[in-house]
Amino acid sequence: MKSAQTAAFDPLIHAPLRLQICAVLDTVDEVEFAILRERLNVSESVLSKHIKVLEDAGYVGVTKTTRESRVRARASFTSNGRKAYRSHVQALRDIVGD
Amino acid sequence: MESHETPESQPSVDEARAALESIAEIRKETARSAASPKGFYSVVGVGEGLLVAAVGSEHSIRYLVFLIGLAIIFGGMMWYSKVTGTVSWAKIWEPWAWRAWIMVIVAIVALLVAVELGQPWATIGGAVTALVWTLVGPAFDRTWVSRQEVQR
Repeated sequence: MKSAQTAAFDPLIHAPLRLQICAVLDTVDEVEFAILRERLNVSESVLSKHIKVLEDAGYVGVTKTTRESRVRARASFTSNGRKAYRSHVQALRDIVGD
Repeated sequence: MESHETPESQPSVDEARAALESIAEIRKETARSAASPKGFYSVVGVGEGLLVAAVGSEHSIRYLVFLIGLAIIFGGMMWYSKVTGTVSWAKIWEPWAWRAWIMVIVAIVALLVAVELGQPWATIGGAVTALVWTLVGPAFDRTWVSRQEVQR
């Protein structure tokens, strides 16, 4: 069945690491930075830089909580972010011809 | 070395295919690691069962049982979050989530029975709720994981 999702290529999302961050955020509702670092095999500074780009675009929100005396940051999609990501995926599918 | 900078133009067919493959791979890993820990639904089910039993009780200990039930449910959610490093809210509004509806309906019916009939039906309803969550929850979780693995 053809998806009804609109297609819009988004260069900001398409950078490889940001695309993977978005794929994780589309799979779960919130994810800890530590899990993202582990999954993407990147340093904290690299991850923070890309999260900041997504955050500045209004695609991602970051919340910080303290647990066991440690501050843990979590990232989640905003509704605009999820919409932009899914439109981007549809654009990729259109390019491939899916 | 892989570039992490923003690409300036639309990708070629091969690049787009590679991007979709990378999405598929990371979704699969993420969904599988977000599966509920073993015993999660039993723990939450016991919490639910205690709520049901407490609501239908007239014993003075019912408030304590109710609070213990809430604490177990909240503790279960914290446990999930700590083990997986993620938060995921159940999506129960789609047809594939019918098992979640069984769990919710059983809990609601048990609550209503507990309120109307009191003991011993409240305790029986609580036990049935815990049992159903224990038995049905893991199957619901497996379906959720398999759904989340695939980009839609």
